[in-house]
Amino acid sequence: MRSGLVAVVLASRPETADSQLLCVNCQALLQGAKLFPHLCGACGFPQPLREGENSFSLLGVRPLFGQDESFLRARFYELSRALHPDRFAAADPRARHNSIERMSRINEAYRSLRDRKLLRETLLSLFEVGESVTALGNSARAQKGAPPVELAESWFELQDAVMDDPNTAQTKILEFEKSLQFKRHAFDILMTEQEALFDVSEGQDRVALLEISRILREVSYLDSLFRDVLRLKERLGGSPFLGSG
Amino acid sequence: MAYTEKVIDHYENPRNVGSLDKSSTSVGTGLVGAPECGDVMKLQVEVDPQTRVIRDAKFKTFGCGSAIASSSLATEWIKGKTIEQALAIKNTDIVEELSLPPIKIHCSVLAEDAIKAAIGDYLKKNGEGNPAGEAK
Repeated sequence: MRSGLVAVVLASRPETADSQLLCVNCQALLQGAKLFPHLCGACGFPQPLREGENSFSLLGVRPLFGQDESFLRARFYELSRALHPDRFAAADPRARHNSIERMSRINEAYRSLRDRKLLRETLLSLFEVGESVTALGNSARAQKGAPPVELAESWFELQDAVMDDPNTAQTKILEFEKSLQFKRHAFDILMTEQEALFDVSEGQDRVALLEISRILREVSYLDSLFRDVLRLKERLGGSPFLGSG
Repeated sequence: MAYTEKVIDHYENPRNVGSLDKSSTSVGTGLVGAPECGDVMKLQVEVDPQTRVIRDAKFKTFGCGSAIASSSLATEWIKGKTIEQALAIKNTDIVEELSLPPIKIHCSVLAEDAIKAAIGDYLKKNGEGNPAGEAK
């Protein structure tokens, strides 16, 4: 019982030590600085990027799906003014180097947080949930990358029907496209719900993240079907047996 | 990138195109889709319940030449094999036989998944549950 308690105290200690960040230039405590953790409040020296900094912490926001765009913008411009490499043109080369490094990461962070799709990816990769959809290799396919059977089936049946009876092809393709759009819309709603669940849980609900990453895979299959339906339309009249592969 | 002769041969003269009676208890059906490109493949097996040998296999694929060749080859290979032997076929065997380039490897994965899905469906129909490693 007692030793367990000691272990907990010890385990939490390195974190406390870590969070006491000192300026690399003047050794002043960085916490409390207006532009923490970017600039030292005492000497104004731009700090090197530290391990554990991410797109969210760089802009001083919490890693959640709901972001206040005007806050992000204001913070980004504030940081841009304070950290712009031009301000350090004549300064210590280390300061200049840090400002360039920091500013480019902040630019990147701002880009990825103001776009909903990129924000999603950034958050999922921060919590290490799934790979990005495009990174899913063949080996992962059997476990989780295989597209939903129901969708694959209806796509198969559509092509079958189009080959059997080219006269009704246009109607059937339109119907299929409509059903894809309906599904796409339903996925968007589902995803928004899961994002809200995650945000309400203050970032604790990992199941919601897994669910979002699953929905993203289905959406990516849907999007590839949209492209294939377009190709099918273009091809009608040519050989319907030849695919895009 | 040019297709190899074997791919072209399977593409121009696909073996075992068609379908089997989906409702028969001796027939297993697998339909799988590729997330990368929208290719879809349906593969069916007819199994002798006594010997567990695959008596017949049919396929229909909407996709590129490599996907068609992979599924054509798959049906050719599994005919006359037992369920267990067919399940042992790996996508890499197909890649080697057809000399598929890296960007077409997913076609062979699709064919392997289709074999497993078809056999899985047969086993499920006959109350044997799913074999380990079966693609959903």
